Amino acid sequence: MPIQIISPAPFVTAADDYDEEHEGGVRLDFDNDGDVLMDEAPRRAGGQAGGIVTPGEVVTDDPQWMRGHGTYLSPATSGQSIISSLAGTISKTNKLLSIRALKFRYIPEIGDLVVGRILEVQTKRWRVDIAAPHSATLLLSSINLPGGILRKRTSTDELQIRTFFSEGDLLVAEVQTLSNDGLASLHTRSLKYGKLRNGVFMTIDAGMVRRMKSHVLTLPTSNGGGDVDIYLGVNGYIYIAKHTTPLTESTTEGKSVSITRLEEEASEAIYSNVNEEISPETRGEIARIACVIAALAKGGVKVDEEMVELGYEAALEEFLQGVEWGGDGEAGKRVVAAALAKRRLS
Amino acid sequence: MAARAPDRRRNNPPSHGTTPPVFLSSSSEAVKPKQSSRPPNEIRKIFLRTGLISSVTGSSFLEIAPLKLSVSVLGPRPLPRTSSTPFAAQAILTTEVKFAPFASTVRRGYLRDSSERDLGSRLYQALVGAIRRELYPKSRIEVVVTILDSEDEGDDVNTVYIEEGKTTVETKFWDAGRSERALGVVLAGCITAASAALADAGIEMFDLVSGGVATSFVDEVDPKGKSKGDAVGNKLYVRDPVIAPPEGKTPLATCVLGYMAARDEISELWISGKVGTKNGTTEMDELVDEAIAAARSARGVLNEAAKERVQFIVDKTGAASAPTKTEAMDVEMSG
Repeated sequence: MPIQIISPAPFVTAADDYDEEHEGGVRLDFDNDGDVLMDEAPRRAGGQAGGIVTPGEVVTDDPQWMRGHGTYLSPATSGQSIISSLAGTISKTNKLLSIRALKFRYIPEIGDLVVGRILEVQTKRWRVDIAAPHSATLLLSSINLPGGILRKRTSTDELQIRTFFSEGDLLVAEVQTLSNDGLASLHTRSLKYGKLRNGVFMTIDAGMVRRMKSHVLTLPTSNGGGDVDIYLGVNGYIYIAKHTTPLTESTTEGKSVSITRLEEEASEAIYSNVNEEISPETRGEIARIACVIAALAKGGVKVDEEMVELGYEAALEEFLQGVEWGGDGEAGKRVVAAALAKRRLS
Repeated sequence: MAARAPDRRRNNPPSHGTTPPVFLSSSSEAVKPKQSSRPPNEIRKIFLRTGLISSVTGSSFLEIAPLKLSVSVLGPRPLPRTSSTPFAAQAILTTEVKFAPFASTVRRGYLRDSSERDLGSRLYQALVGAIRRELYPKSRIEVVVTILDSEDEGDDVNTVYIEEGKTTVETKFWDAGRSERALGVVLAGCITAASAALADAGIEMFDLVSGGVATSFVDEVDPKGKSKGDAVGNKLYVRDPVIAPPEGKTPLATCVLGYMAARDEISELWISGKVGTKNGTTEMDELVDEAIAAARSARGVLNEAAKERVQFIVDKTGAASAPTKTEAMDVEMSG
């Protein structure tokens, strides 16, 4: 028997000959003009509130738009309309249409500063959790070996791999390369990067950290807290630590470390697991900054250097201390509102 | 089911199962199987909400009269790195359907039985084509459905209690497709709720899949074998059927399907029972059309559920930070 395969027809034509009364009393939100109106005023009263779409919904069939993340093009037979593949809000960047989902994973890009946690130690590399769909790898050859960068990696180093990083260690690194399926490879070949200690680790949503020139901030704190380093990982992992004097002598003199001199600079101390003495004042200020960042993320404000500083000022003015107010509640909202007001003034 | 070794890691129920006591009351209304009062072309009211479980990527909870189920979506997360794991250019989807031990009148075991595995593979079939798996290489996405309450689907026997004077006579009759009707409603619910959970997890999909069930009934045939009426003419299609057949009707066939309304595609089709041989194609078409109509009705609820949570978050964050919201909505770049 000959078999004829009929290509799937678009829903619109199916809806035409469909009796509305048989829909069981539930009104379908799908109809002939179910596309989201971009330029004209909405044709339907109360239609697409806030530009929210669901998977399968036609965003637009206007050919002037380019499709971005979270969308796909319908088959050519039914006109090139852009269809959403996520439940989220529509965002436009010039002529690029993309859908921003409620939650999304961090997608690594080359040059991103990330904070990560060692998941597994292998013979010549580590697997690092960076909140991406796949864990990243950190090769033994892309870290600073004690005793100098130019030293040849030896089998002794492979045997001692756990003395550099072991399971559960936190580190700050840069995304060095991406394989074609999106797997990231990290490196810590700079004294800016490496093992993290003397502080607290926290996470916020990946999209909440704004990409900046520098993701390592040093914030002078009040109440005798001294300087505090904030590592704002692009992946939403954040580390807030007591500011430590660089481990090398040349940097304290204000000179940058040249690659050729690194061999003398990088010492065993950079892989130390022991925290320094941290005063209660510093601990208090670290907790305050963590609360500011948590409150900013909760309030839907992107975290960057300016907002952290303004939020910290606002928290000081509110005399808020401790860890209770950061996650939720009125105090956090007040701090965020005050920080936003400060930004508008400046 | 074949006898299996007892599961020694848990406190096991009695091997023969337990049945809650049923007390017969004197009033006939109490023992009659419940008839639905809604028209046959209307589906039951659906309660569907997403994002209730915070520890997983996406979740949903669905309730259709007695049926209650929750869905968790985990991932996309990396495949375990073992030598036996094959390379996967597309995400690997795994689905698991489990009845809670207390979900039906016949107590279920803690291990999955054959009907649960069967539902799991049908759910896989319904969802696998809708997910844009090529976007998630070397990953796995897990869909775990837990059914908390369902209509009894123990066996293919309906029990009717008829009062004759002072004694109650228990009459049992064979109801072909009884378990299919019950499982069909469960599967349709699983498909709808799993789509909502996948949308909540932010996993890219071509379209949402909604589940629909329809059953065809004919007039009951009396014991002498003579039909009371014209069987073909009096065919009744019921969308989203309950276990008890309508008054004086006997079921012919049940159709369950997963349907992508925006693309007008069927991703999973399960028909059991008899569809007429004489004009079989039209009967089957009619049954499938009824099930599609049921799925389209469920799709309206599904869309609203997917939007509801986004709207909730947008409202919540939008109030705190109006500037970032407008910035997120519309960006004009110069140069």
